[in-house]
Amino acid sequence: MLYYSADQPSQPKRGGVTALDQEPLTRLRAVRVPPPPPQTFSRHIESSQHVAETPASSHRFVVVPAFAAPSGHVNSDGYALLQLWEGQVLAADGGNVTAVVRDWTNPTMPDEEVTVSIDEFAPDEQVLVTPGAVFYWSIGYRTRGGTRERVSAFQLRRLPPPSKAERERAKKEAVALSALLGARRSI
Amino acid sequence: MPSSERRHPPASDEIEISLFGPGVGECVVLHLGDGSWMVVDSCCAAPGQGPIALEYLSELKVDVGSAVRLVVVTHWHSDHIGGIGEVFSKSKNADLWCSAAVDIEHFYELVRLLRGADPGVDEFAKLFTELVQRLPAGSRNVDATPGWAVSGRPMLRLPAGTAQPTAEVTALSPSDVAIARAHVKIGEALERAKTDLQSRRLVEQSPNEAAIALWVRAGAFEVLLGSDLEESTSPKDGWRAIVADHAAAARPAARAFKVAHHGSKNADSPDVWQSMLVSGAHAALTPFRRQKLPRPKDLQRLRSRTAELYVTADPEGRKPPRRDAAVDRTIREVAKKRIVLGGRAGHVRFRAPLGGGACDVALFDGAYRVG
Repeated sequence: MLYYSADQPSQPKRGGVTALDQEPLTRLRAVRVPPPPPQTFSRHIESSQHVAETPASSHRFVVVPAFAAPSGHVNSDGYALLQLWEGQVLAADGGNVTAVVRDWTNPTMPDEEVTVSIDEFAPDEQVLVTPGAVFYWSIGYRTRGGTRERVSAFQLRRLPPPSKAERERAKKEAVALSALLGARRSI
Repeated sequence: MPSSERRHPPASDEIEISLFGPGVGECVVLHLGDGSWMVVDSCCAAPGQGPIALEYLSELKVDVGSAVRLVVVTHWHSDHIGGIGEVFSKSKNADLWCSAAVDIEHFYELVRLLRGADPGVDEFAKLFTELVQRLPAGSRNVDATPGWAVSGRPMLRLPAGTAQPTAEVTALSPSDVAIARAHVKIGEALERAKTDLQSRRLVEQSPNEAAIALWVRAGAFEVLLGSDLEESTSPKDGWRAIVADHAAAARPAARAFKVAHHGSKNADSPDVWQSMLVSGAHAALTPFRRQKLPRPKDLQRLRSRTAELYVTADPEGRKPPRRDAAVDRTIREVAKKRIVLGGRAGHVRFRAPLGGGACDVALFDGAYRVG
């Protein structure tokens, strides 16, 4: 599982402003921590169509799902990922969610627009399913105690809002960039 | 037409207008004569691949580092900027032009806040990085700053060369009114970004009114590139303002047209066809499957205006690709509706002599003529 921390590394400077791609990630520095079980975060359906609800996450810093392992890899929870998409919500109304999903298992697959029920998301998270929200949709098998489940799970990406320090630094660098690049000209 | 056919570069005294679009995404590559090229917007050649402009120019054995003279980012929608950072970083001899609508501190701040969390914003971060890296250390050399396009501003002027007469590129938009509106929307997006608890991704608003429409003149050939610019009810922006400016500038009519905003009704202006384009102009557009554009009635309307109408890819898309059987079964159970958005970028190519003459059309990778 990748969590994002709010570390603030020092930044190299060039030409009076930070060279963006040389800057170590500030707000989004990834830190590896042991993954929680997937059901901590999401609601899942079993192949029998029985719907099981599980507690939604109260974590502030979720992230990229634990199941971002190679397809077919079986983790310690007995979960084998078959398919993973990243999605971005386009619209959420009338109990439906329309989103663009990008295939993370096979990046050569084209993006698709899908419409699913809002009930695919954990009840506590449904209020956050709004245009622009990013989520992960995984499909896999979980094998435990001689039982195999086919699992479809939707999990929202959660990132911390920018801190005051981050906002102040962004403002400062925006002023510098604007002074450097914002000069208008004509030929 | 077989893909091998498109590997032949244009003659030095030919203009080329190549439009690429996979279903969601758009890129225009133009040869202005004498080996000089420009790129307008960017999309990927296919899912997981690099920018189509670089792939295509590589096929033609064009030295991107020296031959591309201009890179234009018409607006910040994600379907127009996929890979644009890489295109510009490889185009070392090119000027970069963006809509003046994004020349505002709030936009730079937005890019800084969302960088790493929004792929579209990341493209702008790459552009800004490349611009900064092109500066001599510690300098404030304004020659390395991007051009900021506003209505009527010349963007590129190539003097007559060995084989070609003068080529010029001029911005037709955005208007001052459109820029002011866009600044308000950027300010709103910034406020959302500061407090967003779950996405840190830009929600695309409607900056189409601040998009850069372009006029290209190469020799005796004039081209109108409509970007995603939409019509307005105000005479001060949109296509109404451009038509009025065109009459005042006394430019000749264009022979080729990149149809604005995927052929949508919102971008349609009969006056453009009547006063800015020759009768029977060659027109091409890309689909935008997310909004199901162009619709059949859009194609009928456009076809009534020219018999030379071309689309880079089927607006309806194709059947979803097959995956693991268990995955396909689960998708059928969960997804109420699916539309395939992307795929291999289709390609419409127009070529014509710079001095005047017939326009040759070639179609590749699923592009088609609207019959």
